[in-house]
Amino acid sequence: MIWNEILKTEENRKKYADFVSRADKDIHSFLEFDAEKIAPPENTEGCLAGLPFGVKDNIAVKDFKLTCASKILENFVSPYNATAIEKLEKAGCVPVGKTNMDEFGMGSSTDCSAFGGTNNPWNKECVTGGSSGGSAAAVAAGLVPFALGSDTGGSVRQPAAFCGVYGLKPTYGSVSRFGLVAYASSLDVIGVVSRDLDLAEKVFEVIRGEDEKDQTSIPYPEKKAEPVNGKLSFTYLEGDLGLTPEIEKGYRACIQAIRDRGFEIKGVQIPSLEYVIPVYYTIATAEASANLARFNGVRYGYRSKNGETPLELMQKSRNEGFGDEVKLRILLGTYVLRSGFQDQYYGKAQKIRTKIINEFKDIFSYSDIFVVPAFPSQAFRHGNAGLTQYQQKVADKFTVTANLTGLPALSLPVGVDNGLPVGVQFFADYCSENLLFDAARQLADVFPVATPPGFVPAEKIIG
Amino acid sequence: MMEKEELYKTASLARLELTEKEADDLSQAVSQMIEYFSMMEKIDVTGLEPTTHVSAGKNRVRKDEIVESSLADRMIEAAPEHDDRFITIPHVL
Repeated sequence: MIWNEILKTEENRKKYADFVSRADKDIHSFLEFDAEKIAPPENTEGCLAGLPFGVKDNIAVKDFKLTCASKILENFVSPYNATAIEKLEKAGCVPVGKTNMDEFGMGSSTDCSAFGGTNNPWNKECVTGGSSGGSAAAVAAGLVPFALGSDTGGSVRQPAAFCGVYGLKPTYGSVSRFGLVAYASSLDVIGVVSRDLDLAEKVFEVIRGEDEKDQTSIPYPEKKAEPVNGKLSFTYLEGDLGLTPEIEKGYRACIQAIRDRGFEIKGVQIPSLEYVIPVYYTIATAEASANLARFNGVRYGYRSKNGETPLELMQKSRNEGFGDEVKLRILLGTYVLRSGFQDQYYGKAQKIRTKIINEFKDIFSYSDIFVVPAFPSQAFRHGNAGLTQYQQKVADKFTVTANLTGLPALSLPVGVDNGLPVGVQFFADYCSENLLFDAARQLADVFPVATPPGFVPAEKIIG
Repeated sequence: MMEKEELYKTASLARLELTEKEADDLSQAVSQMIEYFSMMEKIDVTGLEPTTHVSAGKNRVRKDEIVESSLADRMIEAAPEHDDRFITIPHVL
């Protein structure tokens, strides 16, 4: 692996920093990339020793900013490391920068960043997807071998699909959320983006595990999950899924490739799919409205200069500090939690969530991998030529189920069509990430990771 | 369509101060989503328990022991305004 040479000498580090700042100019995947902060790894023996990596800007890295792509945290510098960062540093990895995102993780394009959107390395006129769009773009463009993102409703998998790389959303609780700025606590999980399947798996193995600083973290089983019938068996979502022709074609090709490899695959339906979006957005916005209450201009972050009383200070700081999409979600969340409405919305959504979980439990009682598109379309265009915020929300239907159920899911590239990548995702049972990786490896030579125009391989960066 | 008054009330509970224009723009977006949410009404959930957390196991507590932390000073430094070790805000009374 050439990537582990890149931070070894000062000369290489300098070349690397120059390369990234040049290559990222028209992509804007990093919000902060500071050559001065790049240090040689603290551990040169670890399994990932010497690898640089990018970190979504809602995950705390000591002495780096932690803006969540929001004006309200524009100047906030983290005094500590997230547990996932701590573990990666022990394994010899070096965080080299913070990646762009939709403000507080709220969006599917990365255009909702207060500091400007990120351009898709495949086509600069298109979005990277979101909310971990910076991480996906940085990896796709070859600026880092892997990056961390967070996935609340598809925020790792959808941008990975838009940028043609692998994106893992682990089992809920398998990776500590300590140091991840909370959006929706019962849905959030830190995930991994990489062009390299084995590397993504290794990174996951390093960052997972119970953490006393996160009450919802779980001890990960030592024993690897086994296929329910001795050999991997697949199911796929059937029916009219409302896909664009390119996605439909890629999705069918993936199903065919699984069959060609000699695996059993049968179509299933998920009756709850038609209402997962209302359930998801009810729960996500309710939790967000509570989590974002802490940003009020008092203890940290942006403080409005126009507040004469404590109440005014909070209102004005929040109003001046938050972007439109964040305000919308806070309002929605506050509304569904108002007295008199709670049972109708939040309570109801939580019960339907149980129903959705039961449907998936049934699927994994007889099969290992569930195949579903990552998103109904390829990367869409920036601005008005793309999808409206509402259309983007409705299109999250294939990804949010992994968060509502807590199941692990991996999005993988299945080709390039019309100059843009096509992605599908695999779901597996709880703590069965190894089966996701095994299944993806089966298809790795059928659907190799493609390189976007202008891609520079790692060995050329310092060569 | 959500009444403007309802929107202002919700905004005030959320400690958001909306301008007239924002209220106009947001009320439409909020109404659209709330309308979408209302499709949950027709779903039968008889006998289903609510899911609050997917890994909801038993309550886990840390050992009650002293752990060194050097974060306090840096957190106070990060406050928008502070006076020695006190974070300051506009006068309350």
